[in-house]
Amino acid sequence: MKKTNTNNKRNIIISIAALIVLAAVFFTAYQFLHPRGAEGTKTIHFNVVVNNETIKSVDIRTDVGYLRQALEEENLIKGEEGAYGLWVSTVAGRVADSGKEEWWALYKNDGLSMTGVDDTPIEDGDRIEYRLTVGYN
Amino acid sequence: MRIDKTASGSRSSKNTTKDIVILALCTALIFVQQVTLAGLPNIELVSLLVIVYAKTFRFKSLYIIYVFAFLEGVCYGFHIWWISYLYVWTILALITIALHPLRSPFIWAVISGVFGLCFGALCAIPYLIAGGPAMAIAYWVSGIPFDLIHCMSNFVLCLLLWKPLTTLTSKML
Repeated sequence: MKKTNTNNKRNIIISIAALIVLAAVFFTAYQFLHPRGAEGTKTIHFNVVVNNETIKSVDIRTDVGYLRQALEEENLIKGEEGAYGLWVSTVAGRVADSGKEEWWALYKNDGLSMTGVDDTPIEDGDRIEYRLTVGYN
Repeated sequence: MRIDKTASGSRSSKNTTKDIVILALCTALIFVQQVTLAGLPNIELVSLLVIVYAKTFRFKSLYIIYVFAFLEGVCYGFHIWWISYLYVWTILALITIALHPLRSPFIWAVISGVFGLCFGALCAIPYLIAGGPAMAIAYWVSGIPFDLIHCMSNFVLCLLLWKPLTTLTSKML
């Protein structure tokens, strides 16, 4: 009985230690792999598309590394802070009407961005586009 | 819930009205808590409830999981993320069924924590098929901070709620 208890304790300690090591591995992977914005001055091309029509197209010169700062400097986006970063509700003055299930889809270099506006790094020559999208389903 | 132990140790039973009601209640509970906690980043009770259901109801927990996945699709839309709901919870349930003799809440908290940590990687699989390795890795990496939160919250919630939830569900049998 005593031996079983000792084994159980040992198993618990090993399991928790393994979890901590695994979490450390994931954290290290994030530090190495997460994309960082390029340093220095860069120019990005920014488009806003509503109903398949481009309502704004502008080149932005900036020194910042991430998209949110670049667009906020130009007063191009507004939104609400949430647990996952800024939820963009307004782009170039156009408000997405949540009552009509409208939302802004972020595209980077013609692909749907896997990151939100806070975490999207920018490099010289990037093409950024916000498309007003209708429907959550 | 009527459960008969077979010679092989697995459990089998016919679905009685009581079974259906219990499984429906469990499905309602898992769905309602998910919607209620949706505003918190990766802090949820779905993982813990799936473990508790799978430990208690074994393979019958798959009914709960698939009805829950369907309700999630109806509520939030059947997008690419939804595909992952068809297998991530099943994987957790199968792991739980395989390890069901384990009793220590600490061990279950670790299992729940590891699952939370790997959640993003598991959910990246549809993106691997749809957009290739670059898209899948970008998806996984961008979500690692949330996976770490998921890991910690799963671990703590499991430790805190393991005993009351397992006691409660075992009373349903």
